[in-house]
Amino acid sequence: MTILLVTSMTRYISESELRAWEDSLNKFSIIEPNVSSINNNELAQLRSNEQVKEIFAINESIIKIPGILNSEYRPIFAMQNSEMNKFLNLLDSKLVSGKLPKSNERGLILTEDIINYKGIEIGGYVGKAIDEEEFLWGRFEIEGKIKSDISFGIASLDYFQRKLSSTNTKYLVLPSNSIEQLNKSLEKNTNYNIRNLSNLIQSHNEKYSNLNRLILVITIVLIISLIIITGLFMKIYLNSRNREFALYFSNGISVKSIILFVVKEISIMALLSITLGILLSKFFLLFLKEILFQEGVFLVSLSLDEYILIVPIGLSILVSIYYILKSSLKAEKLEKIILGDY
Amino acid sequence: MNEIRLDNVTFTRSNIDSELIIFKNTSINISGNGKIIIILGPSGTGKSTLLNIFFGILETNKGNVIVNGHNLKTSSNKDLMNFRRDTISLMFQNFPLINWLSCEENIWYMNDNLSQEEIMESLDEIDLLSIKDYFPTNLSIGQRQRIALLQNILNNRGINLLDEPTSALGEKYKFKVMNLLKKYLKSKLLIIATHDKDLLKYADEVYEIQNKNVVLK
Repeated sequence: MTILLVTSMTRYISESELRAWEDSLNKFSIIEPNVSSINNNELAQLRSNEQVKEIFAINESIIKIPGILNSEYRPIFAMQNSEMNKFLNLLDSKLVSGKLPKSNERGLILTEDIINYKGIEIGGYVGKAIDEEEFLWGRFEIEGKIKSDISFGIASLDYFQRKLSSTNTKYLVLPSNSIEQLNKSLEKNTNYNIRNLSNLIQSHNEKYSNLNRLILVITIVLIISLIIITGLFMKIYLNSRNREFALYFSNGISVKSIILFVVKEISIMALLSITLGILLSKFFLLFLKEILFQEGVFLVSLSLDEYILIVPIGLSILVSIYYILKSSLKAEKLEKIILGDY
Repeated sequence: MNEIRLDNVTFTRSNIDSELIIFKNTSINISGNGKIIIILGPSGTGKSTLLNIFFGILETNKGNVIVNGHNLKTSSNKDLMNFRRDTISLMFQNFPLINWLSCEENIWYMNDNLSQEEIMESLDEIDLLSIKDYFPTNLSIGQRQRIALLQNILNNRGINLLDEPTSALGEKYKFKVMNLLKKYLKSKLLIIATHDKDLLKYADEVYEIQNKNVVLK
C-alpha cells in the first residue's frame, strides 16, 4: 500500500497539468501561432479544412481550484462577446444563471464545478487581488454559471487584449467530425503549433521522465525492503511455529506439503489484508473528501496501473517466502527440533 | 504381524570431547499384535533414544533397524515419511500438540477416519469431554498429555511408541489411561518407555537397558 500511495501521490501531483486540459482537449484543439498571429490566408485555409467546424480567436489564462495535495488549475478562454453563446452551444453547454461578461470588462463566467470547488457565488470575485496564488491578474467578478461536462471559464477577449497590450491571439478549433480526425488534419503545418491531447501527453512524459524513473527506483527499493522485512517476519514466524511443523513432519507429512500449506496460509492472509487495505484507503479518502475538504477536492484515485503493481509485488514476496521456507524447513532440521536438539 | 528388529545395532552420541556409546551390538526382535511392550529403566539409560531409533529419526552408526519389513537404515527421507504416516507413531516426551486446533481436532488430525462419536467417547473415558473445544494452550500439562495419548492410541498405525506416557499424570489418571490403552489396543503393537514400575502389570513383555544392550526380562 505504501508503494501505491507513493506512486499515486506523485502521479497525482505531476498530472495536474494533464487533468487541467484533458477534458477540454477531448472536445477541441488550440492553435498557437509561431509568429504573433496567423495571417488571413492561413486562417481562411483553416476555415476551409473540412474537419474544422468552427474557429474562435482566443486569449487564455488559468484559474486556481483547490486539490488534495496541491492547487489545480482550469483554463479561462477570453473570446469575443459575440461568439460566447455560439461557443457554449457547440460544446453542449449553457449559461444556467447570471449573464455573459460584458465586452471590455472584468467579468467572468465559470462552470459549476469550478464555482463549487472555489466555494464562491455569482457576484463574488477572483484574481490576484483576492488570492496571491491566482494567475489571473487584478480582480474579476463572477457574472454567470455554466453547466458543462468540461471545466473552464470565459472572459472578454477585448479586455484581455487591452490589459495585456498584446494581440497574441490563439485559435480554438472545434472538430466537425471527431477530435482525432481534426488533429490529424492539423498535424502538418510549420506556421503554428497545435496543442492537442497527444502532444500534451507527449510533452508531459518528456517533462516527467526523470520523475517516472525516480518512481521506479523508489518502487524497487520498497520491494527490496519489503522482501527483507518479509524475511525477518518469516524468521520470527517460523521460530514460533517450528515445533508444530516438526510435529507434522514426524507424523509423515512431507516438507513440500508443509511449505505449500504455509504458502497457502500466508497467501490467504495477504489477500485479506490487501483487500482490507484497499477498502480502508478508499474509506480514508472518502472521509477526507466528506469531512475535511467539503468545499472541493479531487480524490486521489488509484489507476489500473497502480493496482497492477500489486501483482509483481505480491508475487515477489510469495516467491521470497517460498525460498525462505525451503531453506528453513529441512527434514534434518525438523528432526532435530522434534528431538529438542535445535 | 507388527515387528521391530534391531540387527547388531550400535548407536553413539557425540559429547563435547568424546563419543558416548548408548547401544553396542544390540539385537532384539519385538513382534506381535495386540501386545503392550514396556521398556523399563531409570532416566538417561537410552529409552527415548531407543524409541527414536525405532521411529527413524535417529540413525544408528552400525547395524540395521527393520520395522515391518522397512529397513530404516537404507530408506530415503521420502520413504521414511511414508513409513511413519502408514506404520508408526511416536508420542514424544514433551507431547507437542497443534496450538490452533482444539482438543477434538488434535485427535481427529491424526486419524480423520474417526467418527465424532468415537472421539467423544474416548474423551469422556478420561474426563476430557468438557474441554473438547479448548485449545492446548488453555490446558494443564496433565490434560495435554492425555490428549496426546488419545492422538496416538486412536490413530490407524500398527505400531505406537509412547515415551513416558504417564509422567504428568496422577495415580487416578495413570491407571485410567492404561486401561484405555488396553481397550483400544486391538491389533496394535504398543511400546512404552517408562521408569514407572506401576505400569508393569499391563505389559506382555518387559525389556530393560543394561550394559548398552536391550535385554528381555
